[in-house]
Amino acid sequence: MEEDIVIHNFLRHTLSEEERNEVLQKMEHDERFREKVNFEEQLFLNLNDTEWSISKNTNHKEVEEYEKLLKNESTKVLTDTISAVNHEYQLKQNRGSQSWLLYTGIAVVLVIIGLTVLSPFKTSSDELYVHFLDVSELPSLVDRGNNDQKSLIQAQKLFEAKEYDQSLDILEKKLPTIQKNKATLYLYMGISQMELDEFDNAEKTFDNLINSGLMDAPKGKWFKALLYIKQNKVEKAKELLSEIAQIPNNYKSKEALELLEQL
Amino acid sequence: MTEKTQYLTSLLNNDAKGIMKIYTIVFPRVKKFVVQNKGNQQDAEDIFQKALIQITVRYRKERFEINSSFEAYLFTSCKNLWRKELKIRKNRVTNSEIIELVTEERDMALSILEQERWELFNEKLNKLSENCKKVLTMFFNNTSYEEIVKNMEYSSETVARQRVFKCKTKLSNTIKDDQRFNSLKKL
Repeated sequence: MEEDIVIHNFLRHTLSEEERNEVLQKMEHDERFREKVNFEEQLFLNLNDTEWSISKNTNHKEVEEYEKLLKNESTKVLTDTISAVNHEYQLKQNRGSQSWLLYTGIAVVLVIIGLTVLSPFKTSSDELYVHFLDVSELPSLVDRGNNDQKSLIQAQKLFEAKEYDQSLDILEKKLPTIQKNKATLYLYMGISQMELDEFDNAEKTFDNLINSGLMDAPKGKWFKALLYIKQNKVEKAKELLSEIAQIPNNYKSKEALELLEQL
Repeated sequence: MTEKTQYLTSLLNNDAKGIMKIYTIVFPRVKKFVVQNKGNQQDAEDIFQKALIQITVRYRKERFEINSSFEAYLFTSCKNLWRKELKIRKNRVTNSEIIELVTEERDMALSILEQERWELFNEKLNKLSENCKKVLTMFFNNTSYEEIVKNMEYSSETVARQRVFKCKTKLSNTIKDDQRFNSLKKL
């Protein structure tokens, strides 16, 4: 089990330089150990939902067999048939989607106008802010087994205990050096600032996230909308929420629509 | 003829009408998945075409068993091809790994074998007890031990570590015992 933990940490890049070199050396001389590391890596790459195990052995016997089949005439004919079908299918879809887009656009605008103008139930901005701010869904700042992240663990604990000023102190120091989980760090920072009523700073942080190009960047828009609500800047909030609600796949699209209804 | 066989026959016989039916049923889902995961329309079209060719060529070489519906199998193949593509793109940006340039056919051949290996690993994972499956799925997806303890209602992290170890050993043994692994381990 001890060995398993070392291999696990090696594959997750959480060993120190010295420990890492020890593993590499052992892999060089100990065939059993090398095979074990390679197998563990395969387990992780094949069973992690976001990973993939890319093969490098282009001389594998079966690679050649498949390559021959892929190069033969029947595969070429099939490739041409699939290309032709794809072309026809996409053409059909485009013709259909132009009118579909127009109607959907009109429908979304009408729903938003209807919800914002006609809704008889209005709740105060503060109540809405509290109701819709759900920090339990935030991803963790810390990766499993990474002992180099003690300060981030501390920041997360403080954040969870609502000690936002202390959490913010740590996060601000970490921001310039952190590479991994940067979007999450922006979220924790922005929410801490928002909770401390540091509105300008919070807006800057959310803008940094929105413009970062990171995968979680779109989350910034939702929290920026909540920031506007907290400041009772209802029009600005509505503008942002309409933007989020227009595309069903957007982060918190459903909640944005619900919130618009109540503003 | 079952629907599954009908779809496969359409591919084996270059039947444009049958292939159009596959597009109508499965492509929208694939497109949605690719677009939601950093891709665009063109990426979705490329992946879909590759997956159809991959399945056909594999089936031509050896009639293999599809345990789910054809639609689900095709969708999973597309998902996997897209995961591979994303990883290659990421490596290209971070330069963390040099990927040898190979012909399109060779790359596709490798993808087919990678898919076979992925199926073997996942098939064996699915044959474990529900408990083992759950704990290993969390473990391989980087869930912290703290979370595993909470989710599985274990008494401590030590218990969780032991459980992961036992389940992983069981899984490793069943994979290694399968004769398909002999060939795939050299991949």
